[in-house]
Amino acid sequence: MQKAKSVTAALFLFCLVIEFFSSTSNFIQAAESDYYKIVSIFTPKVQSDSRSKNWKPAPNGLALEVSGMAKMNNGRLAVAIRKGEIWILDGVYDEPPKNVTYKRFASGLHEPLGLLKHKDSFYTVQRSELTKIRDLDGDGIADEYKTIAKGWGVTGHYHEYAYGPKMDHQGNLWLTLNIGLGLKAEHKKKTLFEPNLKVRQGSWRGWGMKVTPQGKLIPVCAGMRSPCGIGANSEGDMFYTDQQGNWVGTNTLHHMRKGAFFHHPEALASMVLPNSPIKGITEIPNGIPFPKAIEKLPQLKPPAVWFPYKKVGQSATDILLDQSGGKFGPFAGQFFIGEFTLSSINRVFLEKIKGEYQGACFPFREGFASAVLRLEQGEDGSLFAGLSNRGWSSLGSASYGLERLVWTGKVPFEIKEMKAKADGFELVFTKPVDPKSVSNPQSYSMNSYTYTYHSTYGSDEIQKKDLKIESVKISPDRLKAHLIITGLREFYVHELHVKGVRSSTGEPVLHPRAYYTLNQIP
Amino acid sequence: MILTTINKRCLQILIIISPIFFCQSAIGEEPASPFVAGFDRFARHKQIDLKTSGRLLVTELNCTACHSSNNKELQPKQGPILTGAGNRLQNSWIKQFLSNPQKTKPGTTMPDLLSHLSADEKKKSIEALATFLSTKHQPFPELKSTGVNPLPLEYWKKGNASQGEQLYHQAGCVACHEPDPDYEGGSNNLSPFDKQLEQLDPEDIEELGLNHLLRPIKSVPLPDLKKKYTLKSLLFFLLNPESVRSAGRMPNLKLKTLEASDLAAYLLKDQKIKKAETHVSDSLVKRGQKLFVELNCINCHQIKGLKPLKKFTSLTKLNITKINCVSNSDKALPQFHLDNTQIESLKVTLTDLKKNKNKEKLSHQAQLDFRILKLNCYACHEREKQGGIGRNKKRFFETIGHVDIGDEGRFPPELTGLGQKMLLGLMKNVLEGKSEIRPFMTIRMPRYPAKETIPLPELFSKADQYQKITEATVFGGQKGLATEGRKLINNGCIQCHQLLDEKLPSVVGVDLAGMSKRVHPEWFRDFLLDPASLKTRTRMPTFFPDGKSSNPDILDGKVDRQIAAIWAYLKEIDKHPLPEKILAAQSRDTELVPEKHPILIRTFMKEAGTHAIAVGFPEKIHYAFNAENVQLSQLWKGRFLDAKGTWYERFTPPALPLGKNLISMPAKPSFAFLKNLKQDWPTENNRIQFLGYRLDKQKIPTFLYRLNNHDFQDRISPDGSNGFTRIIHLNKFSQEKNSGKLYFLVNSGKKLKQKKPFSYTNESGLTSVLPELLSKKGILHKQEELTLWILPLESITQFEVKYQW
Repeated sequence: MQKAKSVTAALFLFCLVIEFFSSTSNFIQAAESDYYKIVSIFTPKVQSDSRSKNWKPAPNGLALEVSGMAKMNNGRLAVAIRKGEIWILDGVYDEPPKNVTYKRFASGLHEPLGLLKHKDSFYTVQRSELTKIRDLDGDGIADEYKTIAKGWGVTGHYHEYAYGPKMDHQGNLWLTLNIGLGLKAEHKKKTLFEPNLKVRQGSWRGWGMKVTPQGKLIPVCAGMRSPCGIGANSEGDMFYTDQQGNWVGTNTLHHMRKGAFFHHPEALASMVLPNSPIKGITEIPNGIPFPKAIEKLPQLKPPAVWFPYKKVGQSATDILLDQSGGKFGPFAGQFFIGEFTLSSINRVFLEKIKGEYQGACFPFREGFASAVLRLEQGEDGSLFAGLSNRGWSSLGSASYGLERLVWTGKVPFEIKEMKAKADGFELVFTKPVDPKSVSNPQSYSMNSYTYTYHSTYGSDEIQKKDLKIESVKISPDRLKAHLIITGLREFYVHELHVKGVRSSTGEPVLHPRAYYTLNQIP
Repeated sequence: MILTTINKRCLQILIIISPIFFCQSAIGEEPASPFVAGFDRFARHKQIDLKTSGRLLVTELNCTACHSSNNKELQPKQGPILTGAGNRLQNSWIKQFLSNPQKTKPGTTMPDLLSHLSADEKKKSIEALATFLSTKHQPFPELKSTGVNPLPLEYWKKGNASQGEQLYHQAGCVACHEPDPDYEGGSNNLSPFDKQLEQLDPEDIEELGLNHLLRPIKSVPLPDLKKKYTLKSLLFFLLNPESVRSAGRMPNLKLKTLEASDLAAYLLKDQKIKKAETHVSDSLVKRGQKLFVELNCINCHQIKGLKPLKKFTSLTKLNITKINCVSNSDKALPQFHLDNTQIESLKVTLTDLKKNKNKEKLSHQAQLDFRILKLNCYACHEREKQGGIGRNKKRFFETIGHVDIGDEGRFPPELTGLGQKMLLGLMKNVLEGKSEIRPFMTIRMPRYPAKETIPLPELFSKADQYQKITEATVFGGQKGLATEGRKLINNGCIQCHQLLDEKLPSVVGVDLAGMSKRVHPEWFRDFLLDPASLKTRTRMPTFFPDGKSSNPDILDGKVDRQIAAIWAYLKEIDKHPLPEKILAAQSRDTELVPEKHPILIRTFMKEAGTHAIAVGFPEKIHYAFNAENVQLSQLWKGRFLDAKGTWYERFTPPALPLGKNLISMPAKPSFAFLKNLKQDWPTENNRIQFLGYRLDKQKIPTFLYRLNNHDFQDRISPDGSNGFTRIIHLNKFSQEKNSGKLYFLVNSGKKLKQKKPFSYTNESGLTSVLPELLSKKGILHKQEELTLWILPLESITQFEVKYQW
């Protein structure tokens, strides 16, 4: 007993001292910029607070609060801005971008939150409709604004943002619709009421919808809260990101497919509509762990990826598929996810296990000048980051603007892929590893946890458990490590730290943490 | 508790030993004596008397931490609280500091308490004390990253040193501490007063008694921070200095977490911490704890759970000839390394206190002076020709954005006459850090611990002999004056001042709203009459030269009434609109003014709904179209619309038409298929589809929509500035059968009158005019109390209607 206590005491002291002195300066940020540099194209500083009622853009400046981007040929970039305009920018690839020109193409739109260029037209989702915009007379200014689809509820509540569109491989245009939060009497007049669940929202609020090339608006899946990002993977399957809040424990990435319900029950008000693909949900579990909620409610589909709060962002935004084929570094085919509050970009690796998507997320690059709301990949593979933090808050010095993230050509030492295995995980690294550190189970640590499914805002990580790394096998090419792990749990986030791992040249992993959402054990 | 169970066991733990750097002396020459800001600045140059300077040393050197005094003014400032020393301070630094405080941190007020020990004993004692302190842990606060205050993961590692450098030199640190000689920022503008000084020769300056203005102010020394702190511990100290230094000598600069992180990154730039192993034994910890009490460290440095042991002679009973700490002998203990000036001051003070037995009653003025001396308010503020920013530091005080609004835009205000000027409540708020009156300065007014500042507002008031005069006495009746005050402010004040955060472009100045809660009414009156008499070197002009108003048309030019009116408006500003010029400036950036072409904006509107399309024309007539139920909704004349709410406001308020002559169109569908004329006009039309719009060469939109088998093109354009001409094309694109015939609603109302030929006017004043031929086809359709003027559209492919109001 005495001895045990002494050991505890020893650990206690040890921990405190380690915790105290573990602060070293700044190296992650410095190192990130060795591999990916941020080029500012337009980042004015604004003195208005991002939530001020009297918010104003920088004096005499263009309020380039980027809410949509579409690359064009000849080095041009089209940019939608939140005040309702589309601008065409030239010279954005210059380094430094000193001679960028700005030309207004369209105006009068109602907070467009997406931009797509398809053939001779632009497409954008405004608060109340999906609009196709064209310049018919060739003077460089739009003169036709055709309504392609409308009919979702718009009560006038500010939180009813509408995002999109993004196109799938069949030519359907996808859009997502926010839930209204705290509707007042004037908003409630324009809502639907579902009597079993006693939920009330405007029609299709909280839904993902697609518009066919013939212009038919089809509701697909529901339960979204603030689905700010939409994107297709290389197979053409469609995904969206959601943001932490009530019913949403932390930010998420979901595969949109017919009849899926994701989390926010108020979206189910639209079950009363005849063409709802979701019917018959009569009870929503509240206050239980998410894996339990799935058991109780089969329509509830787990996210493909949870983004643990703070560790991998605080508010996920756009989804960008790296289609550069390697021009943007070693992550071709993966997703980059914009992050609003922490002004950064995260990375996602997905795989399909037993027919469903799941995968891991990793921090990728921080230090943007403002909230990263939109992403677009340029002709040369670089990423444009469209910035705007108005209405919420973010890190960084600017309220809005445009930056470009350029790969320096140096390959960072990173976990490129993290794949689920029946007995653990396989890591694929971007560079050959040092066998000694990588085969040592002590170089790793892992724990797993989930979230509470409840009506409260956000959730703590619950039911946390440490897992044991039993052994590690390295592939002959020294690019892969197979971690044999006991205690895997389905539907839980598995958080891996690889502090001890070194590349063959002795580098530590640039971002030594990975978070795998293990919905299925293969 | 836990420690006692570690029996005779040495534990291997990691402790950090940093390489020994040269001591960094912040003020150039190495002071052999403790540095006390007020003493150094004033006592050494005979700007305060010996008695006061000695009293200052009594509190700042913590004499009364051992030699107690019941005099409230003479309580010790105390040393840093060491409850969390184990995780706040590097252990190697503690050891180095204990071995020779004055050498490790030149200018420190911490005496050497080990100077009497042999080298070996001293080494052992230091080892024990440092080991004991290394076990004193207090967890740092857990700061949550929220939507409002986002923090990156491990934010203390992510400070930006160059932003920290800016902060250090701008936020106020350098008012007390030494600037970096290589810092390139700062203002090169000499203030006009300094320019004048520059031109005087030294003899004149001496003759004018201005020598003190030229003297460089020495800085409060800093230790070698890189050896003392870690990023995390320094960050949390900067965020909340009073948690460690309770007397507010280092005040709270109200840094945001990320600012503190930047500042820590700057102050600890390139810090290298090496890890090394050392032994911690329980017996050593116990010995350290015992020494900490026995050596009286505890008298100045609080540690939870420990109390002072010894009683010392109280301050007034000390025998001045015998006390050895007030000497510069090598045997002095505690060894303060006092210099002769300090010893002399202390002796005079102690003799005096003994003589008066503490019974001397200080005047309010003296109490105030002493308190602001202790808190070093003089580092930034001047009062009665004492203190103010030193000449060597002025360049670091700037207006944000380098806007030139004179000294008062850069330098903290003078405190001379403050009691006559400022209300007690505001003084309290300012000291507690709750009031930001001059957000345009880079320097921040810091927050002080309440216990140090509670008496200050009263002291200012009494020292400045403020006599309360009521508002009514100063201004007389104010009823109805506010409107006139608004005009006066519109004509003058707003050229330099803002109101409720609203201002003319490029104006930088104090916000006048809330003035009546900040200053005394008679000060306000006197200041307006002659600003320079109350504030030397102010740029504020008088609007009442020679006691005459420059606005003779307002309130008959009566000066006292005009000042009362300004006061009244500022007091009731919430109940009145802002001055005209500000209102105009407000909407200048966001008001949509169609000039060459019409302007179209989609937004939320009260009448036109959540799918509203507002279109404004250079002819100053405008309309709003409801794209949800596809109806023309509202018409108006004059100014078009302010887009601020639509463009920039988070809560997306409905856009309000700015103009006049607003008229609502009949709230019924424009088109309907009726089986017969007995059928009611429908209240809504669910099947109508909005299809968008096209802009023609004149940028006038033509709306496109579809109802059953008909496509419509609807163009509404100004008919001069009288009203609109609406032309609608119909295209029946299939022969599918409709249930009934198609009609257009031309006008409706409870009363429709035919005032002009071919037209009907309803009770709201909307006149709809059809061409002669068509008007004959029109039918008056009665429906309950309404009369609808409807037009059958069979075989019509285009028609025109005019709206006038």
